[in-house]
Amino acid sequence: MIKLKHTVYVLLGTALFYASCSNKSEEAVQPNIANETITQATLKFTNQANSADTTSCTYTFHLDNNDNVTSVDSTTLVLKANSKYNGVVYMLDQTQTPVFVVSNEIKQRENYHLFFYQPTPIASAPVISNTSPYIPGTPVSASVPPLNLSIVRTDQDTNNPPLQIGLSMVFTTGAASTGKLRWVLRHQPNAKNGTYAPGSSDLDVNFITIIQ
Amino acid sequence: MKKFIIIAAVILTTFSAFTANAQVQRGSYWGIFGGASVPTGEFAKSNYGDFLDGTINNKAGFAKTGYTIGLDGAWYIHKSNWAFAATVSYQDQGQLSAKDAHTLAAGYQDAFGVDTGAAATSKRYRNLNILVGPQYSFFFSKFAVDLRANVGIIKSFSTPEMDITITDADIPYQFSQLSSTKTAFAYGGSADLRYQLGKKLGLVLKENFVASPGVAITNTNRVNYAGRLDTKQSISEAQTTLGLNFGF
Repeated sequence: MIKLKHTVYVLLGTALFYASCSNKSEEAVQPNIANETITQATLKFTNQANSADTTSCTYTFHLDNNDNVTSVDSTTLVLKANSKYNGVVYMLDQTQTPVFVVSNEIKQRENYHLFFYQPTPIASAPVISNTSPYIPGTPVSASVPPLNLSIVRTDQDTNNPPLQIGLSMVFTTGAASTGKLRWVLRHQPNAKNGTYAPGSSDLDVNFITIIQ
Repeated sequence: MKKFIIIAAVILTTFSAFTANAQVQRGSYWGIFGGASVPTGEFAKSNYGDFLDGTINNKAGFAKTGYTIGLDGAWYIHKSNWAFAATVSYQDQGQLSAKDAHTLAAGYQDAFGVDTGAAATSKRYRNLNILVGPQYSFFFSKFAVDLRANVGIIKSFSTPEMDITITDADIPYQFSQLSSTKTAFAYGGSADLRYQLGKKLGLVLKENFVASPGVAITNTNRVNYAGRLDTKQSISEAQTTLGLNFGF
């Protein structure tokens, strides 16, 4: 006849055996996967006072068979003076078939991407905050007439609290002037806080800009 | 599972030859048990989901089949088939595997659109259930069938910790899902078959289900909302156990 105490000892021994299971650590590193390619980056504008008044500027990257950039070209941005324009971003990856709209994916990945727009020359340092679209450290020019252009980003992501993205924006022009518009896309994975510093640049281009 | 049931049936048949005169006592009892604990539902899932499809699974628990041990008791109302029952059990539901770590690394790499993702996981699911509830018993000569409904708490001693590093343009970004020691509401039910071995000794085969909306999970350094983020890990376990009960 099996004694009760023997049964209890077996059960307790089994329990102690399993309780000694280790807490070893597992590690894994996922290998490098190439980031999405941008072959064409466009800003499209519509005059708020006249929807027929539209303009745009495009930066194009020409690639070789290994996706290395061989040359670039850009168009000039021409805006009317003393006007407000609604702007939207449109980016393409033309290495894929069909052509891939990269800006749609940036929208899906909005919580860690942020666009910056910096007109130059500037007469004074831009006010920098977590809602400022301007790039800190932009040199101030006291001798050259500034480009009379200000920008406000108008869209927000789904972070808590929400942060701006910059896929849509409003450009406000002043008096006629010329200069450049620097356009930067920052990739800030788990680091986006509205400022320029975190992360790295996925795009950093300049457009000759004429306000007339 | 089949082997377990066959072994239990053999044990029951063997002991019945030695205890032909034993009748199931309609009295209160306490007992000990042990067996397998199988995770179910989201607790058992190990998929990350797809970021661009919007199918990130924040609730996948990556739990594994493990073991449970515990104490059980039932106190019958005088001359009634109804009893007040209680169970205290300890469970170990394993830890993340190397494959699970790869799944996490790949998932976060994609969700944040970065060059590389890395995941280091440690610690296991260990928890204690304390459940009480009514029990109704059906008595048949040497056997009794007990049906029970339970409510109570689940106390977590640990849950897997996941340390993630995503790297983009040679810049690392680190965040973690920490091990939880929280307590949460739990509920469930069980059905068991008791066999009387002796005047005060019985054998019990039980199928038990326990579920909890989940224990709170703390995450550190999650600056942006993207990728898997588990803030409350649901727990559900189907347990098959064999034990002894002692009348008093």
